[in-house]
Amino acid sequence: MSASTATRTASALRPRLLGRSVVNLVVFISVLYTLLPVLWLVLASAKNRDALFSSNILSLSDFSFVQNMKDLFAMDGGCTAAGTATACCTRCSARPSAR
Amino acid sequence: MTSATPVSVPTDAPARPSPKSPAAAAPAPTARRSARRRELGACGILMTPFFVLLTTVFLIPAGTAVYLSFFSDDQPGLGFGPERTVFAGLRNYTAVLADPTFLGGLGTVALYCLIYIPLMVIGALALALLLDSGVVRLRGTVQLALFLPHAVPGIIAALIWLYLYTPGISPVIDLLGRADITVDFLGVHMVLPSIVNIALWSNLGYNMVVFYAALQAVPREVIEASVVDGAGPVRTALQVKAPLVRSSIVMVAMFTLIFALQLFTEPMLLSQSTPMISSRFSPSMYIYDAAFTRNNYGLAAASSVILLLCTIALSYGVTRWTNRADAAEEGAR
Repeated sequence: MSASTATRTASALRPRLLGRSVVNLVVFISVLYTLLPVLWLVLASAKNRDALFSSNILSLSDFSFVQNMKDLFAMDGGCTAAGTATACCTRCSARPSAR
Repeated sequence: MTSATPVSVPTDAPARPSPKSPAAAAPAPTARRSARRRELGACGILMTPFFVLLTTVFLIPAGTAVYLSFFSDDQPGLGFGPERTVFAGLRNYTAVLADPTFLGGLGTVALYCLIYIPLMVIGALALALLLDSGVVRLRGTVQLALFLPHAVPGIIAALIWLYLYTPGISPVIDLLGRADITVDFLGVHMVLPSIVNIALWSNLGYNMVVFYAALQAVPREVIEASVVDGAGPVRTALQVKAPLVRSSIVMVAMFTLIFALQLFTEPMLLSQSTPMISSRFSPSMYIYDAAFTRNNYGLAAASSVILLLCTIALSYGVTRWTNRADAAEEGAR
């Protein structure tokens, strides 16, 4: 009785160790899937236009987050932040097609 | 039904619990009538906000759309006369239903639903089951990370992915290019999967949370019983937990269907950078185009009513089908 239980536990443990790492891997990949675009957005907001197109996305050599913010709030004569954000969105979305 | 109280209740006493003692209630029919009136008044006051909101945000706009759909603008005198609104009967409806771009849009949305809804429901349920299995490290952090895209507004989400689909900026295309894979995410075959990906990214975490909350309510005894009966973790998840959260699966599928039928934001933004998305790509974009580009409000209203009817019919069909499946399951037991 106890011997059979022991073998069963042993046989159940081996795939469980594998299963545990597979589960963690799948969850980790889905976390990367949801987080990386957000991370890209944050990194891209700190780049000027040339650096966005040319340099490595992870390099922080052309750090121009402050300049981007200044441009954002100065856009269209400095109207409300919401309005400028919307205007900025439409301009940005038009830009890839312009290339 | 069994009564738990040892004292037998007299038959003439009120069945429902009443704050008034029987002695006080007996002699005054006028008092009872005033209480009844007060009850009705409370009902009215409590239900008024609901009906006010229902009327102002649903009935009046929907009624206006139905009304508008029977009229069209007409310019007599070869288009030089003053514009006037004339009754058009069902002419707008026949025009919409005979328009191949509208039917094409409906077909696109049907295909989109066929790809998107199964992916969403299965993906969110699988993630919730994995998180519920108890072997995932840092569960709280993982849940927060998965839920984060839902906090990103839809337009911003579409914008991020538009950049990630654009060659030259996108690190994704860059990486794939290093592995000698060239994918045109905005090409003719990939544009619909690309839109599905944006919607999936935005809503996966939210639906995962819905499923996870439902899984928390699964009684522990049932899971223990299945483990005692020799079911492994996979079998427990698929054959015990998943059937027990069936009602939330139906709910998520229904909400996903309703939102999928209104497909608008993602193709509208992507259409600015790919010729594969026309200005009448989906029914919602057709309505937008009819109302704000062609200024044909009658046509826009008629196509809105048709889209609304399609949505109602599909939701009703899903509800009926799941109810019948439930009843069949109950009968089989």
